[in-house]
Amino acid sequence: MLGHSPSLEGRTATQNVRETPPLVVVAKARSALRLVALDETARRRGLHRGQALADARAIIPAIDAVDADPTSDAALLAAIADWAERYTPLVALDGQDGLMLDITGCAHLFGGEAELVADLAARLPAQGFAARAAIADTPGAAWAAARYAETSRVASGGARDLLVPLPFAALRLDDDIVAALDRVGLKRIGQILDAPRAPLAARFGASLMRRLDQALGREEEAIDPRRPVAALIAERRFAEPIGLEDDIAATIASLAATLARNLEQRGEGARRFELSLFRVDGVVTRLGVGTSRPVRAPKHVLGLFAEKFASLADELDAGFGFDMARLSVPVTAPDTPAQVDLAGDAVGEADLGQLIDRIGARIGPERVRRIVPRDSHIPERSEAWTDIDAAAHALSPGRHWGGLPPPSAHSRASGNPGSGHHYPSESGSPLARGRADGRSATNSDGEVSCVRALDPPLFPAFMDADPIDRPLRLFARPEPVEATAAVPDGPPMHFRWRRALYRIARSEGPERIAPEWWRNDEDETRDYFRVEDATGHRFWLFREGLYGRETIAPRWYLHGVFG
Amino acid sequence: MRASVFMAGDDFAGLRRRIAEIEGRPLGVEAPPSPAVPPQGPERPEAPRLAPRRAEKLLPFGVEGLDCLLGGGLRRNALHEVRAETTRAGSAATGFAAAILARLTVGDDRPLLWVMEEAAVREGGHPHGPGLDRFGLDPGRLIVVVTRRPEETLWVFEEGLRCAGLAGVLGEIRGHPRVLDLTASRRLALRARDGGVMGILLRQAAAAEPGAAATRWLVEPRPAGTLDDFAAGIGRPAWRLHLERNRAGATGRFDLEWDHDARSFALAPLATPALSRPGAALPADRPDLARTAGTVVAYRRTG
Repeated sequence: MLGHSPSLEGRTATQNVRETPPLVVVAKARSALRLVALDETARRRGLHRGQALADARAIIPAIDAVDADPTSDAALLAAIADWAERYTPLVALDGQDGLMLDITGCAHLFGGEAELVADLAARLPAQGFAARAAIADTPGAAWAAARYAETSRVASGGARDLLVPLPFAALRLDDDIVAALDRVGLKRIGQILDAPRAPLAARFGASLMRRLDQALGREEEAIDPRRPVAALIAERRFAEPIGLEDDIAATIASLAATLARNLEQRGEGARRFELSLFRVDGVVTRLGVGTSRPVRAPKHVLGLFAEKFASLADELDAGFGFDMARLSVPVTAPDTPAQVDLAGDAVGEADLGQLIDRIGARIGPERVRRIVPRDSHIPERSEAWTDIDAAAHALSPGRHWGGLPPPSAHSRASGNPGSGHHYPSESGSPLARGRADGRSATNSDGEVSCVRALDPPLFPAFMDADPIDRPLRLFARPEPVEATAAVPDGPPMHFRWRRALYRIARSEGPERIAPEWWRNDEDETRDYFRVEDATGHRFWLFREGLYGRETIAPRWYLHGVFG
Repeated sequence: MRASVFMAGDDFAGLRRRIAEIEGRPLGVEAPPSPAVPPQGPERPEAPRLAPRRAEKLLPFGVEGLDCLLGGGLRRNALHEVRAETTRAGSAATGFAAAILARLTVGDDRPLLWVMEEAAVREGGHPHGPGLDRFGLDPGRLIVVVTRRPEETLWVFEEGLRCAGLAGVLGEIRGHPRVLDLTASRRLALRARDGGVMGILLRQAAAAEPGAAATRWLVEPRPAGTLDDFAAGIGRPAWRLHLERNRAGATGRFDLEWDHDARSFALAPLATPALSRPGAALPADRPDLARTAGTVVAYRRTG
């Protein structure tokens, strides 16, 4: 079936009074302003599409020309397509001025094909659009009937009779093929219907035969719906438009109950619900809510939409009311019933899922996050914020925090050479550093891998508990501070952060973190220090750039705070 | 007459029970607290219990004086307020609150909800996974919600307190938003009481305000304790806690240390050894780098 609005100026056409000058829409084509659409008055007075504006003005001087606005036209057509979903979920855009609706299995809901097309033909003009609609077996035949024939309904198997008197343009052919056919005297489709195919294909190209076959149903043609078809749909039409929130809620509840039965039969739950509200004036509002696990319970669904409505507040405009509501389930997932143990643990989990859904529906699902580890030694890249689903996936056993063995494992100190991650000196005391330097001559410039690995017996007590070497809170962007430190790689002595001066009483470090060379960015080596001022504020500072090798003026940043 | 006297004796106990229930105090704890109440011993990490939510209503600190003051520990089905006067002290308050959360997760496998405003993230930083992990709080247990406005924070907080699938909810609010008034605080407290989920209201840069929380703590930073006798290092986190409000008894001041390995609190030693001692002495076999390399230079920000 095809709905076709032949004139984009349709809205104005119906409003025009006879006396007003002809209205045309012009756009620049082939180095001239040409008419791309015209209203009824203009058509009656002999203007036609493709005519230059100058020629049209020569015929009728008082002509009202407006510039074409393809973007707005496309948006309008998309809005009409939204509205047309009241007839079928399969709505495709057809060119710049047509819609293709696949009404297979939908016509009986309106009392039959004739009633459906009558409904469509009554509602569209009521909104101010001039439109033509036709139903046929194939998209090609419907296209031809809507544009070139008077009929609005082609009987099943009647495509051939329909096409016989129509011009070749009705076959959706390119202009040059139509012109080539015209040159050899072929004007009507009927002239080639029984002609041998091979010579025609050889002369005019394969597309002529393909279009003909598509129109006659000899070749399958699928339409390309704008939106994916939902797995399950429940909808309700109202004799009187509704506008009250309570009414909408009651509708959602009953639709959700219908869907719940269907979902249960399929052994599935919904991961997403979409509510489409069709306003009487043609505007369609869509609201979607996601769920963290498969859901069926109507009460839960209603609760999620209640949160959604609460967050929308005034944005949802009921206008003169909604005359149709549709609840669809675009995404489903297998739902195995949870076994509830005596302690009620399964209930708690379900509770949590509902909580996450509610929060997501109210303030946005992207704001409910979990932290998962990532394989990087750069602190800001060592964690990722993901939604709940991805987190459940990422937190599989075997992955642990920080890319390091779990705390209190003694192997932590053995630096991984490939990762660019070193623990130059855990304690930061000159003693430790001195020993390390003395032991390994190759590491003369401070890139000593590890004191603890070298001298385990020296600090036996170290093995009991690891210090807290990562801050509790991290700043998304390290904040620049003015620090005073000994060159080349001494710990900071005092620093100024957010206009306050902190004198450092104790510090530990450096922990050297080299940039990830494979990332090909301009990062410099960082020396991290854990510092504490006299009153007990604990900070994580780093110096960016190795003095004398990477920079002559290393910069200091505050990256996090310890609890 | 005799019968009524007899009844009165019975009623007295019942009345006491009722009053304790209304006031939300464990039975037998009077205000001011009597030392006769046996403080619960420090909780040891045991095998996970099947239904921790029914097991006990109190979360002991494991610090005798403090638990005694609280009548056994922090009540699980209640709202507790942790505040920091300044933004810079906010990290200490976060630490204390995170330590309570870490204690909550011992023997309880339900997740935790941490809801915070965007402003709090901007000013104080976001929770850092590896840091939480080192601190003793499993980041995998955390669900973090970052909201746009304090209204949303309070809403999520309240929803969280109603959810039996959570072990605790931490709500972080900065300053004094108008929506967080006595009514809002009372709502949260009632939700926590009915839902049985512990709520911690973490207030950054906030002055003392009347509220309905069962306890209110002012957290101030304190030099960290030592770890494994390494005096020069920065060891166990420590805070100075002012128990400003306590529905179960008197208030007080405590210096607590957090043992992140055992996930337990301990009283901090009075004098911090690290402060009375300079850093480790320079080794004899190494020249003083700072002196030979030049004078101390202050680096200014460039560009």
